[in-house]
Amino acid sequence: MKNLLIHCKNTSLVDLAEFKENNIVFKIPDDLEVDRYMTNLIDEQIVPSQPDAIFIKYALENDYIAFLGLRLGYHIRLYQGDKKITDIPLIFVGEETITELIRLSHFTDILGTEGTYFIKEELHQAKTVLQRVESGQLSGCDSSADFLNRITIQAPRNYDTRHSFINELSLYLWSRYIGNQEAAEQVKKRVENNLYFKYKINSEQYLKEQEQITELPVFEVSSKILLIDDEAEKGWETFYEHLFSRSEKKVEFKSLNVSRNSSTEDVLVNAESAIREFNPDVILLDLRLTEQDVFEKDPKKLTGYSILKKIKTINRGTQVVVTSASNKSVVFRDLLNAGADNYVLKNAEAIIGTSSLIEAIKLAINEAKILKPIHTSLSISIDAIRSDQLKKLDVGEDSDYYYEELKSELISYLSLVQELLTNRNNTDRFSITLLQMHKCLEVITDYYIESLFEKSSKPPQYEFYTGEHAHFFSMDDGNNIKVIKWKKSNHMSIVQKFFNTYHYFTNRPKSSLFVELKKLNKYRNSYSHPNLDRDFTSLEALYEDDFKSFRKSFIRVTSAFFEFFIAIR
Amino acid sequence: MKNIVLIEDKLPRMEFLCKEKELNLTEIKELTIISDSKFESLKKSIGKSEFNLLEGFKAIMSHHSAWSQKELDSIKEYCKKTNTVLILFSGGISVTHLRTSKPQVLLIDVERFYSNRLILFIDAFIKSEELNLPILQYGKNWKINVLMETRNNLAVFLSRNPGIEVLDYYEESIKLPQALYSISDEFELDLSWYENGIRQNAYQVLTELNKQLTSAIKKVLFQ
Repeated sequence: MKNLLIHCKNTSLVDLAEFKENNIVFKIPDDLEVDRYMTNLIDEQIVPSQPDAIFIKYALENDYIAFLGLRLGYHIRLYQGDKKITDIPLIFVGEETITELIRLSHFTDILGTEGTYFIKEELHQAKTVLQRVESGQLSGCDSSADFLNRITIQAPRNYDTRHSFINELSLYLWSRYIGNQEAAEQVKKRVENNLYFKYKINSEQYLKEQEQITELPVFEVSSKILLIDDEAEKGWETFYEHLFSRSEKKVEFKSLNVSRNSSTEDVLVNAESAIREFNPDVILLDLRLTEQDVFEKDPKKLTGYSILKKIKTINRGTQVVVTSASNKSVVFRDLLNAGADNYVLKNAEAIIGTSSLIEAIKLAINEAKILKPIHTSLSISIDAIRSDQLKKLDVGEDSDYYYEELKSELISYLSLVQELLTNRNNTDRFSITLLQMHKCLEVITDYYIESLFEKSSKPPQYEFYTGEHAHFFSMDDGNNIKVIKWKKSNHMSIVQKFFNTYHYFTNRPKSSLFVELKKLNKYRNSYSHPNLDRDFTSLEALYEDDFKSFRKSFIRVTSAFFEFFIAIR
Repeated sequence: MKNIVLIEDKLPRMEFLCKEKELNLTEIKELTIISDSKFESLKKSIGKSEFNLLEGFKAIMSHHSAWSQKELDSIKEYCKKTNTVLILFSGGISVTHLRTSKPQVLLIDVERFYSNRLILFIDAFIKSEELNLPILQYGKNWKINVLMETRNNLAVFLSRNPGIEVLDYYEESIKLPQALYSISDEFELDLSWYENGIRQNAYQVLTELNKQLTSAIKKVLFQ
C-alpha cells in the first residue's frame, strides 16, 4: 500500500514514516496558473506514484483560505485518465471544521461525496486512517456519476474570463457535436486545465452531448454568409467552414477579422466596408467585439449593436443572426428592437445549440432571399417618391395638393410594408404585403386615370386628356395580349386601370407584367373572399411547405409591382 | 513624495470596474496612474532597461498581460534590486498568490484588485506607511486568513511537540504570521509569552491560544 501526502510544509503528518518519501510539496511557480499547475501535478507526480490513498491539506498556499486542497480534490476526481486516480480515497487534513469551510469556500461539495474523509492535524488520527487504508476498509469514489450529481462548480467569477469560458465551452462542445475535431482540439488545448471546463465536460448532462450529429446539414439555397466575431480565429471560423462543408456550392462563407484591440469606430468602418463589398445575405454577428465591450453593460453601447444598426441601414433585408454567450433578456429585447432577426445563445448544450443555429441560418437564408431584393426596391421607391420623381400631372390649381396626397399615401403604404416584412411574428405578412401593394396601385391609377380623364377638354371617358384612347386589354390562355379601343359604355375594372396606366406611360402592353398584376389582383380578391378563393391564404403555407415555389411566385408578383412603379417615374 | 504606482494598459476595464465598485482612484494623491501614452513611454523605457519612471515608488501595481515575459523579468529584477513590492493583476488568475521571497510579488485577479480592498490597502499605507499586502490579498477576509493560518501552524507545532513544558524564547517553528500581532488585542489573543518564552506548561498555554484562535475564528465567521 502506498499513501501520498500533498502539503505546503504546513503539516506534521510529513514526519510519519509512511510519508517520509511519499509526499509532494505544493508550490505554484510564478508563471503558472493554479489549474494548470494542478493538472501538471496530477499528470507528472500523482499518477506516476500510483498511490492507494491521498492525504491533502485543506490549505496549500499562503492564501490560506483559498483552501486549494479542496480544489485539488476536484481536479483529481475530474481527472480524465487512470480511473484508479479518479476514484481514490481522499483524506483532507486540517484544523478547519466543516461549517468553517462551508462559510469560506465554494468548493465544499466534495466533502459530502463518497470516498472523501477528513482528519485534524493529529498524528494518531492519521495513523488510524492509514491502518484502514492498509486493511482495505477505506473505500474510494465508485461512481463518477454520483459524484457529478452531488457537486456544482461555479463559472469563473471574473466577467471577462466567464464570458470567454462559456464561449470556449460552446465552441468545444458544438464543434465536437458536428464532428469538427480540429476546432474542438484547438479549444481543448487552450482551456483543458481549467477546473470549470473539466467539470462541464465531465458532467453527466454533457456526457450525453458526446453524441455526434448523424450528418451535416445541407443548405440548399445559394447564399452569402459573413461571420463577424472577434473569436473567429479561435475556432468559430473553422466551425462554420465545417458546418457549411456539404453546401460548398451553395454557401459562400467569409469571416471578418476583428481585433479586440481595435476601437468600436474602426471595427464599424471595417464591417461596413466588408458588408458593402461582399453583400452578404446573412450575417452571423457577435456582440462583444472589442476590449471596451467586455466591460460594457448597456447592450446599446456594444460594437455588435452598432454594426447591427448599420447593417439594417444598408439593407433591412440582410438577415442578422446574433450569436452571443449573453443570455440576458434585456440584451435580447434591445437587439430585437434594433432589427436583429434571430438570436442564438452560445452555451454548453451542443444538440440544442447547434440545432437552433442551423435552423436560424436556414431561416435567415430564406428570409434574405425574399426580403433583400424587396427592401432594396422599397427603399429606392420611397426615395423616388420623396424626391418627387413620380410623374406629376397638371390638373390645375389643385395639382400640388393631389400630388402631395399621392406621395403621402404611397409612402405610408410602402413604409408599412417595410415594417410588416421584417416582422416574422405576423403570420400574414406576405399576404398583407401584397394587399398593400395592390392598394398602392389603386392609389396610383386613381390619381393618374381620373386626373387624366378630368383634364380632358372634351371628356369622353374612354379618352385620355392627351387625346389618347383608353384601351381594353384581353389576354388569351397563352397570355397573348390583344389591345382594343375602350368602349365608352363599359365599366373599367381595376386591373384594366392598372394596364391602361402602365400602357399610357410606357406605350407597350407587357404580357408577363400584366399576368403578375392580374395575379396580384387575384390575391387581393381572395383576401375578401377567403372561403371561396384560397390563393391568398395558401401563400403563407407555401412559404413553409415549398419555399422555392413561394419565392418564385412572390418575387415575380412583387417585381411586377416595382416595375410598374418605375414606369410612372 | 512618490508612493504607489498603478500601471494600466486597459483603461476601459479600469474605468468600468472603478465605476461599478464606486472607486475614485484618480483623487488619491498617493497613487500615480500610468496609462495611455504614458504607458507607451514607460514600455519603451523598460524595453531599454531604463527604470527612471518607476524610481522612488514603494509598490508597483500593474496589469500582468501589459508586459512581455522579458519585460516582466526585467521589472522583477528592478523590484528585487530596489526592494519594491510588485503587485500583478490579471483577468485569468483563479487564486490570489503571494510570493514572499524577494521581490515580494502578489498575483491577484483583476476584479479582486479593483475593489474596496484596494482602497483599504492604500488607506492603510497612508496611515502607517507600511504595505499591508494581506489587506489587498484577502480584503475583508484578511484577518480570518491570519487567524486560520496561525491555528494551523500552532496545531502542527503541538502535534510535533506533545506535552512540551518550556518554550525558552519565541520558537520560529511555530510560524506565527507577522500580521497576527496587529490583531491580537482585537481578538484577545494571549501573546504575552512571545517576548520571554514560557517557563512551564507550554503545551497547555499554546493549546489555550489555539482555543482562543478558534473562538476568534468563530466570532469572525458566525457573529
